[in-house]
Formats: sequence, structure tokens, C-alpha cells
Amino acid sequence: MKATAEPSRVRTYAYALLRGESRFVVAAAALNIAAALAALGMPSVLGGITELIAAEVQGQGSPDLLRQLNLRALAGGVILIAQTLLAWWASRCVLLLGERLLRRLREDFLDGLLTMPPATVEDIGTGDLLSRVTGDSDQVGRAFLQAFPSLFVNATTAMVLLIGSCSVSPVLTSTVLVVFPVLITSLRWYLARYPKSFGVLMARLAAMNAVVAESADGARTIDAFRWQDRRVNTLEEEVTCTRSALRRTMLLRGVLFPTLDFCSLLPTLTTLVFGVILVRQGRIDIGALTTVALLMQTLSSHLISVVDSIDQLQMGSASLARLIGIMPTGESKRTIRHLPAEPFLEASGVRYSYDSALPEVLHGIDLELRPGEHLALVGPTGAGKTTLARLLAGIDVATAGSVTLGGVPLSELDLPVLRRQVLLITQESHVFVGSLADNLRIAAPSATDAELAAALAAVGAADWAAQLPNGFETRLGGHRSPLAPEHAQQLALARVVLAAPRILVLDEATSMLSPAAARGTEQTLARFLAGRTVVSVVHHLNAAREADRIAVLVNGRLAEIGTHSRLMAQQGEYFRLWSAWRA
Amino acid sequence: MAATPSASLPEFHPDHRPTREVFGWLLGGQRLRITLLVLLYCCFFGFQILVPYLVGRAVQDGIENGGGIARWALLLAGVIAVVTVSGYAAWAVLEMARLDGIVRTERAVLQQINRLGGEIGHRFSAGDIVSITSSDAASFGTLIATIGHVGGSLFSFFLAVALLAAQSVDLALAVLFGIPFMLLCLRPTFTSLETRNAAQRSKLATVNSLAGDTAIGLRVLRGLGGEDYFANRYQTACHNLQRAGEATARSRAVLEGAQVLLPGILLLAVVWWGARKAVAGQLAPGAVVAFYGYLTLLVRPLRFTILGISAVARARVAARRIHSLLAAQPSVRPAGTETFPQEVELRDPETGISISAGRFTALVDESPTRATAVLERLAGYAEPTGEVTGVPLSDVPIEQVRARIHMLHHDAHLFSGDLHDQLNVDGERSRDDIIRALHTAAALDIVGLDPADVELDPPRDQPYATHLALRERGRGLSGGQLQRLVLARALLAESDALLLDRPTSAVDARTERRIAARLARHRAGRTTVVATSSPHLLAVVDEVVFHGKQVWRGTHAEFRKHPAYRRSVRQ
Repeated sequence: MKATAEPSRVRTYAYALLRGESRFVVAAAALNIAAALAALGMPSVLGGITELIAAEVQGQGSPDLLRQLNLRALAGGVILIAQTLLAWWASRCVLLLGERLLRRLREDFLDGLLTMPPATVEDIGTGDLLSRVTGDSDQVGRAFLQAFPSLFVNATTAMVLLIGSCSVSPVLTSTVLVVFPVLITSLRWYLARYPKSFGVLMARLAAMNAVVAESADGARTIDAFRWQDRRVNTLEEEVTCTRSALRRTMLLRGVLFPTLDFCSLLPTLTTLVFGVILVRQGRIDIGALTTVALLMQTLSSHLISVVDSIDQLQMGSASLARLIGIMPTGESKRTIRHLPAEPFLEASGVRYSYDSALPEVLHGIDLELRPGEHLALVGPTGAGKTTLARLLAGIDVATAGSVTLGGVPLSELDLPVLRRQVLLITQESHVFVGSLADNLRIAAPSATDAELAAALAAVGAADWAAQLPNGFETRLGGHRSPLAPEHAQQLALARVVLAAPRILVLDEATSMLSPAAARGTEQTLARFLAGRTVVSVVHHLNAAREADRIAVLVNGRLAEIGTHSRLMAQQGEYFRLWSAWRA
Repeated sequence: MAATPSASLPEFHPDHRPTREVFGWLLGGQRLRITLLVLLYCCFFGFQILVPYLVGRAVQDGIENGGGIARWALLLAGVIAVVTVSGYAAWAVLEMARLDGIVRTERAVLQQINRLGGEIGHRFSAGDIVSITSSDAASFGTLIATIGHVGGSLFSFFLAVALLAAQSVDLALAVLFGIPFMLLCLRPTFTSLETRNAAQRSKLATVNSLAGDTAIGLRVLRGLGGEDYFANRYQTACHNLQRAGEATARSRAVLEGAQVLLPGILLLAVVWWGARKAVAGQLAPGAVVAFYGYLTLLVRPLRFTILGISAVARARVAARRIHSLLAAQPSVRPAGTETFPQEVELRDPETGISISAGRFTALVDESPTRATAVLERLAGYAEPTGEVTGVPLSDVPIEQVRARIHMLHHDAHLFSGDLHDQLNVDGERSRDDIIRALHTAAALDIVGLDPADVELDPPRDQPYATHLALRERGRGLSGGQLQRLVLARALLAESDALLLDRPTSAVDARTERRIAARLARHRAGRTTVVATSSPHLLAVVDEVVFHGKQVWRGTHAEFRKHPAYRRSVRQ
């Protein structure tokens, strides 16, 4: 299972979450105990009534029986009102606590999502990530809002019921206690095995979902190759795996749950058998037996609820493990917030491989960028240009060697600080769900409308933006109004203009535009970029020619670097690329 | 996503009842399983009702009458055993029904994806689809659970009333009318809870859609540094959700209180009344013990009804969302009966552009979007569909159209899994076919060709690692590698007509030149169209169609001096 937290981490996290709301937790606990205590009142009132009747039937009744009966009923009414108020207050407190915890968890989850290494994101896959966002967070929500309060209420009530029962008849209550060792042992056995097999089931469900999500993503390709049956087969394979995962969880529960249910119902039986014997021996009276029998019936229903909510909670914790799994472990290394006045970007001995199992993509790159220079990164496809661009922008971290900004490793720079300095724009664009303004302000939260308009104009997007039905407030993203790919790319460039970083890394940022539009956009962008440090990955070599220096990357090594005229004179790799381009 | 996607589906039949249709499909499809579930829950809850009955009888028998306790104890143990076993069986059936609902939905959604093809992306976002197959399908599981619970607890309710009636008709009547009356009293609370629940769900949908959007756009967001802005937006949404959740919590707390108060009143009244009857000698004291037990258990129907109401509401919302996806009709779907002509000469009715059979044609357009649209019509993806040798594609069965004309979209998708399986597009491509296609697309270096040998033509005969494990969307490969692999795959379709949209835009000039020469040879004699602005590809084609203010035909050499053409071609 990818990116799933170990049980110990889940426990630590859950504990920290509860500690954050410690006052609330204490209040909720106190109120629930009080409510459970009040719940004890009713059976003892009823026990009292039974005792009165029994005495009467046996001919030892008191003369003012009816008055006593009414008095007890009245007492019962008062207790009931107190119990109601306490139950209301206690559950309100627990439910509100649940909402607070859930919000904290959601925010932590998104923070995790936003700070996790991109390689991990790719490893997990969008489908799996999305099912964590929806399925798992719903499951945790249910656990927090239903199971957690229910466990709390029922466990306290059961505890108080036992104590109450002890006070009525310790002998009879002690016979009940024999079920607890069995109950606890089997619960421990179950909890040691079930979460893992349930986690597998959840992962299988997510994988099933991912097949559908990926099919939706590649629907056009499926159609073009008539792969409909192939995808159906892939889904059916996942369905078979999921079914067998479900069977495994069923077997585990088949052993355990009947045992647990039996143990929960057993107290009623033991009370009955021993109670009658004790009454016959004259060691307890019938009122005590009635009270304990009533308490035990209540206890059984609470114990069943406790077991149910433990089950729900452990399902919740399996989902929680998947949510926590994407949160960063340990303290962030990105602690440096200050930079020297004139930071320059430098790569030294940079090596990179996506995975220790995969071959290295970059084999020791040394590169120094002068402030304000424009460096073009060229080379045959697969040479590692995109990888180097991502390392220079601090998106990925080098496997060996380092990329530093003003002497500070990028991997140790606080993310917001880093992004004010260096941005990366690729040909992959995404229009976020939200208004046009939202989509632009991602880059500059405080920009005014006039600044937004100026940025759109700078990238040649003023025309189509003006035609949008609600101007800046037009909703974009999702299925509502998909922008054409070239408009999405212009939007991405407008974000750069707004963010105005010191260093900009462009990876084929204008490749979706037509040659004419690309030239126009590049020119306006060039005006904006004057004085900034720019690294751009280009295939169109006339763009490279205008750069201050050109770095040629071949098979993960820096083959040559210099100005256009110098590299042409060398008649090396660049010269060959250029001749191919010109031919 | 927050809004129901039905907004983009105007052609809904007015007499359609989406909720009913989906309910019928998802629940009706497993009628037997649901019936079994209800029966098992009847057993589970019904036998639990027997517990207080037996305890009452035993206390009475064992104490007042001095009878043996063993018989009652055995009976009670038997009842407990039945409760235990039926409880587990009910759970198992429920879990199977739950998974079945999810699997059914996944299958139907996949079928719909298969039917709609690329159009699905214009209508539903990835987040929509995943939340339909996960959350919405799961809410039907909850609904099935509720049906079982409510069915079982109703049965146990009537059983309890019957047992009570055997001892006291008055008391049975009190319970029979008392509990429904309590439910009626709680109606306003239910209504307000449901309104608040609905508000909370819509806030939750917003939160989930924001988080889903973040997951999808994470790579872009990372480069931009928009994390803070996003986190703030998400926090606001979470804050709103918490407020809505707190409103629901307050309603639920009132219900929790009511669940103590109302049955408590009934219990007190019943016991007090029962006690008076017992004193008068009309009722045995043991029966009072049983009353208490019944009433403890009878609170359950109340609780299940509460949960049931929101389960139904949730399932209705889910049903509408599922329906909006499953009922969407493809807008273009050639379904005629004409036979695909032998000779493949293509013509776009919109622009009048025609493509000669058996030739390699380049399409140069001032706007790349417009060129894509032309190719989409020629391949039968968009209206008005193109014509093949005079026959409109819409008159030919879709299977034939897709088999004979293949279009490589600019954003073609590479699936996760084994690369070889994907290149073996119809299961009949040999290793040599695959190597040949990879060679044409200059992609052999990705599967192990020494970079020094890329110019070799024909390629070196060596073992190639074509069983490469790909990630979703081919992530981890560079844009250029991805583009070359999907080009090789498109070649392996071996279609009569191959339409390529900007197939080399992410590839460097030298590789592009290699691809151009090999492509012309690979497709020699078969209809091939390439929309491009690459001078290397333009140099090798038989004919260039230039789509500017009007349509011109000629060759790259002839057009070279044309200023509008020069602007549309990379220099």
C-alpha cells in the first residue's frame, strides 16, 4: 500500500489532534459521565417499584403503597428530565468536538497534499489521491461524527452501569465480570489483524476507482483504439481482487464478531441464572435482582454499540492512515526564510534518478546562472532538460549534489520564500475550479483588477478574456467551461507576469501556441522578462539564438555552454542541432 | 463537484424520473439479496426482543413459582446464539450488497465512458467521476443497510407489541400508538435536521471539489507557488463546512435528548400503570422487568428512522448525480449502415479540404485549434463529420470508422501498465511490428537503444525492453518521450487513414527530421495527414494543404515565399 501511515503514526496523530482540543475533550468526557450517571437513576427507580409490587404480592406491602408508587414515579420523572438535558448537552459537546477535529484533519490533509514531494504524488497517482480526498475523508468523517461519539457515550454508560450494578449487588455483578477477559482478549486479537486486511480492501477499492478515473482521462484514446473491452477486462480483474479482499475481511469477522456479540449478550444470562440461585438462597432480594437484570439488559445494548463503534473507528483509522500517509513525516527542512540581496542560482554536481530502481537521468551537472541572464536549455529529446528545469526551480530535489540560491540549498528554503524567487511554467496547464480572477490571483493574491487585466494583455489574452460572459468573475475549471489549451497556456503565462519572480524557469511554455501567437507572446514576455534571470527549455532554436548563453544537454550531461556564435564556431553538438534545425 | 452536471445536459426528457430510475437499477438489481438482508435483520432484532421476554418469564417462573431455571437458561442461550449468528450473516450480506452497488456503478460508468469517448472530458471533470464511483455509489450501500435496519426493527417492534398484548392489551396499545406518536412529535426536528444536513452536504461537496482540483492541478500549482492562496481558499471552505456541521450537530443533539425523553416518558407511564395493575393482581411482577427490556430495544426503530431519513436523502442526491452521468448521450455517433469504401479519400464538408487517397498530406493552418477541428471532423469525432470517398462518415458504423481511420490527438493518453501491451494495440502485433513502429517514431532509445546508435537505419537488432512499466499518463517520461511513444502506438493501429495532430511539437529538430523521413517511408502508399508547423515534416510530405483565408494546395517549396504561410510555419 502506497503512502499509508503505520498504526503508531496514526495513534500519535490522533493523540495530538485530541490534545489540541483538550479542554473540549475534558468537557465532553465530564458531561458524558454525568449523563451516564443520570441514566442509572431510571433502572433503580424501576427496581424500587418492582420491589414494592413483590412485597405487596407476598402480602408484606406497606399501607400507603399507592402514595409510594406515585412518589417513585415522580422521582423517575425528575431523573428523566435531568437525564434528557445531560444527554442533549453531552452529545452536543461531542458532536461539536467531532466537527472541530474533522476540520483540523482536513486542513492538515490539504497541507500535506500541498507540501508532499511531486515524485510521491506521481507514485500514488491522481485516481488514488482523489479517492483519498473523497472516499477516505468521508469514512473518517463518519468515524469522527458517529462512531467516536457513540463509543464515548456507550463506553462511559457501560462503565457507570457496572459500577451502579456493583453498588446494588456486588455478588451478582461479579458473575458478569467473567465475560470481560474473553471480550477484551478477542477484541485485541481482532484489532491486531483486521485493520491490515481492511486497509488492503480500501486500497483495492481505490485501485478499482483508479481504473475508472484513468479510463475517463484517456476516454478518447480508448475510443480511437476500440479498447473498450480491454478496459472492461482491467476493471474486472480489479473487481475480482477486491472481492477476494472482501472475503478475507469477512473470514476474520466471522471468527470474531459472533464471539463479541455473544459476550455482549452473556451478562443477561449469567445474571438470570445466578440471580435466581442467590434469591433462592436468600442472599439478595428480588428488588436487587430486578435492578441488576434491568441494568444488564441495558449493559448488553451498550456493549454491542461499543463493539460496533470500535469497528467503525478502526475502519475510520484505516482511512485516516491513508490521509496521514500523505502528510510529511517529521519537521520540514524548509526553515530558511532569508536570502542575500542578490541571489544567484547555482547547480553543482547535480545527479537525479526518479527512483533508486530506475536509471539515473542526470549525471553530475554544474551550472551557474548570472543574475539577469537568459539561459536557453537545448538538447535532443530525453536528454534530461525537463528534469534539470524542475531541479533548478526547486520542484524536485537532486539525488546527489545541490542547487543553491545565494548559497542556500533550495531544498532548505521556506516554500513561499522560494516561490517568490523562482517559478516554473511548463506546457502542462491546469485551469483551477474558480473564477478567472481566482485563477490569476493564485500567483499574486493581492493583485488589483487593473493589474490582472494588464497581465492578460501582456500575454496576448486580452481579447478572449474580454469576451468571457462575466469578465473576471467567470467560473472556469471543472466541466463548466473548458478553456482551449492555448488559452490555458496563456493563463499560465499571465500568472507569471503577476507573480513577477526574480528567476523564471520556462519549460516549453509556448509550445501549445501557434508559431505566430508564440512569437507574439514571446516578444511581450521578453519585455516583461528584461532584467530577470530566465532559464528556458526550447526546441525551437531561433528562441535559443536570442538567449545570452545556451546550455546543451546530451544524455544527462552538460555537453557545452556558451553564446550562439561561440558554440557555432565550436562545430560541436549545438552546431549539429542547429544545422538540423536549419535544414 | 458542487453543481449537478445535469446543467450541461439540456436534452433531458421532461417525464424522466432520475431518482426512481437509479433506485430501481441499483436496488432492484439485487432484490433477492436485500430481501435476505431484511429477513436476517428480522431474525437479529426479533430474537433480541425475546431476551427480555425470557428473562421476565424466568424471573417469574424461578421465583414466584419456584420452577427450574435450567430450561430458561438454555432457551436464553439458544436465543443469544441465534442473535449472534444472524447478526454476522446480516453483516456479511450487507457488505456484499455494498460492494455490489459500487461494482455495478463502476461498470456502468466505465461503459458510459466507453460510449461517450472523448466527449466525457468536456462534460464531467475527473473529480466528478471519481466522486460518483466512490461517494455516491457508497451512499447506496448505506441506504441498503438502512432498509435492512428499518425492516428488522419494524418487525421487532410488532413482535414486542404482540408479546406485550399477551400479557396486557392496554400496555400493548400504549406502545403500539405511543412509539409512532413519538416519531410524529419529532417530525419538526427531523425536518430541520434534514435541511441542515443538505446544507452540510453541499458544503462538503465544495470542500471535496477544491481538494480534488488541488490533487489534479498539483504539478502546476507547485511551479507557481500558489499553495498559500489555495490553502486559504480551502480553509474558508472548511470553515463554512464546520459552521454547517455545527448547525447539524445542534439538531442532532436535540434528537439525542428526545431519544432519551420520549421513550423515558412512555416507559415510566407503562411501568407505573403496570405496577398499579400488578398491585391489583392483574399482572405478574416479572412482566414489568420485560417491559423495561422491550422499551430499551424499541428506542432502536427511532434511531434507525432518524439515520434512515438522511440515508434516503443522501441516496437521492447520489441518484441524481449518477443519472446525470449515465443518461448523457453522445452528441456525435456515426451509426449508419453503409460500408466503408475501399479507397480512402477524405473530405471535410465544412472547409472543403480534401485529402487524396494513398498520399502523405500536411495541413498547415494559421490557427492550430482550427486544424485540430478539421482533423476531428475528418476522423468522425465532430459534426459535421467528414466524407470518405463521397460517403458521409455518419452513415458508416462507428466500428468501421475507428478501425479504418485513426487520429492521434495532441494530448493522447498513455495508460499505466505494461508498454508492450499498449503497443500491441489489437493483440496481433508482432515484436518486429512494434520495433519497426518505435524506430519510425525514433523512440527506440526509450526501450534501451544506445544513444550513439539513434541514427542507425534500419535499427540494430538487439533485445529491447518494451515491457516497460508505465505510470498513469506516462508520468516520469519527458514530454518528448511521451509524444514519440504515442506516435509509435498510432502507427501500430495500421489504419487505412492516419491523422496526426502536431505529432512532433515536443521533439527536438534532429529527432524530428529522423521521424519525418521514417514516417514517410512507413506510411508509403497509405492515406496520412499531419497537422504541423514543422519544416522537417513539411519537407517530406507529398502535398501541403494551407488553410489561411482560403484553402491552397501545393508543396512546401512552392509556398515558402508566401508571407501568410511563412507566419504559420516554424522558421
